[in-house]
Amino acid sequence: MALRTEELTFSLGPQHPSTHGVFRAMVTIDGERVVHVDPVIGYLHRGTEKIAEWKTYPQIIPYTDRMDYLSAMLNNYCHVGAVEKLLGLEIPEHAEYIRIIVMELNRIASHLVWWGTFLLDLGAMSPFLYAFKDRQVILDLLEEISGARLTYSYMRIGGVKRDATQEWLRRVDDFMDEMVKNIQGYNNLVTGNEIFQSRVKNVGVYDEAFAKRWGLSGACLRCTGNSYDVRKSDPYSLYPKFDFEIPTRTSGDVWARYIIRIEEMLQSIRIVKQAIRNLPDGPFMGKAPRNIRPPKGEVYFHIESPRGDMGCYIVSDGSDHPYRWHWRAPEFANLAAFPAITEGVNIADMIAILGAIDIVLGGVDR
Amino acid sequence: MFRWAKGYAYTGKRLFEKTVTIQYPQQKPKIPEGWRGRHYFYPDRCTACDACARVCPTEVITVVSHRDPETKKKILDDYTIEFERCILCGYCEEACPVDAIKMGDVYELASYAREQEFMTQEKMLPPGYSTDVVVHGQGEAYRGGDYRTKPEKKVNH
Repeated sequence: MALRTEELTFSLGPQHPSTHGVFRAMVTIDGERVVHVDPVIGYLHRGTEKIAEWKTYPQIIPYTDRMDYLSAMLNNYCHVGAVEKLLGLEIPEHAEYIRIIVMELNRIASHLVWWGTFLLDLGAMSPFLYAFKDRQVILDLLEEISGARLTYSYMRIGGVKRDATQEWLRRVDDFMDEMVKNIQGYNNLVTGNEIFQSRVKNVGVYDEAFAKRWGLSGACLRCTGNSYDVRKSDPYSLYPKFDFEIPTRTSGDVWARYIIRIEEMLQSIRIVKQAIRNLPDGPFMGKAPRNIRPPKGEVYFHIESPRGDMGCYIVSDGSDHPYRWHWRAPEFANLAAFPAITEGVNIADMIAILGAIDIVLGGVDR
Repeated sequence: MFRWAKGYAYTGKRLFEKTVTIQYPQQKPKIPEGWRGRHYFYPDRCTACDACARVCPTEVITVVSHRDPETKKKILDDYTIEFERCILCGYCEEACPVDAIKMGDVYELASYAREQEFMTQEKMLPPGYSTDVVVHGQGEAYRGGDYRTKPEKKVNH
């Protein structure tokens, strides 16, 4: 005899700790089962794409900092790289190496925030504190080179703002050694834990066809066995020169996404160490025109952000500001699949799935 | 089994680590060189070239100046920043050819009223400068947004 239950609709957020920002999900449940989730976004919408049409190309860089605020260096690079592609600029190798160092450092910092908050969602408090302690060291390093803690505005069209000192590079190198040990510790603390594993294994499973249909990218796609990573698939910057791997898994569940991100941190450390070892001498700023007026035309430039395939599309009309400036935010596409993944799962699993998508609402809403 | 013991061991190991946080109001953070805090303005150096106002993304800098009728040189009359809207990107500092505006090391930016966030030359004087160098005159005001007007939008493809 089945018990008669009634459907209940409530809203998760917009000010809920497990929604990682101002994200609201209208959840319909039947007992413990999720019947339907309706994401409501736009609370953090600032109209950056429209603002950018009124700004000169260098003036857009500080605005990109404020979109996906956990990986501002990569946002900077995406915009700057698009403009450079449009201009056909030659970037000094030294500048490109420094860019890779700061981008990979930022990727580690972003993954650390994800790691801490994801486990906070699952009810583990102390990993969050360890993650933020390590992240603080990275942010201090980036603060020193760029001048700000989160809103770096470090990239310039043609190079970077300031050069890295030998002392700074040495400290980055030392910290990378420490970070490898810390990640080993994280695995001891969390990854091997049976309770954690039973919370994430076989939860939120989908296959490669589903991931492609929804346009997922980043760890959300690589957990299904597809090894799509822009750094390898459509190489940009000097990534072909570096020796690193793209971690993939085939199970397609939250556990796979977790393992992939942990391994990505180790790969980023590898890249940073290689970049510091092979850093060539040279100028940190190339020959960029004073007034940046790209030729008429359009360009799409995409990079691998910590959350997936991030792209910048610029239509230039030959003036000093873009005619149209569009941003492809990976977390927006990843979040769009959230209702489809969560159909019929438990409420607690829904939180784990949302945490594993790794959303940053600054990037989703733009 | 007993994987949880590893977790406990890790927590125990990190319990006696050196902290990265500081006791803030008693202990002040070390500000690295080139850090972007609130501006310092040097009125004696400024040549009123408007480069900072032109490059500012949020168009908060106003440069008031007039032209000397004899030497044809620009003379600064007033310089203000609407600090409420400033995003501390440091572009003004980079654009300035004579280092008249510098990003300082002031990070305690809270105030009780909006009016206090309006930065006059007196408020932006670097330490050790007397208010004698401050200039106040009547001239032509210039802001970043003034020179640019958006051309008529038309579909070009």
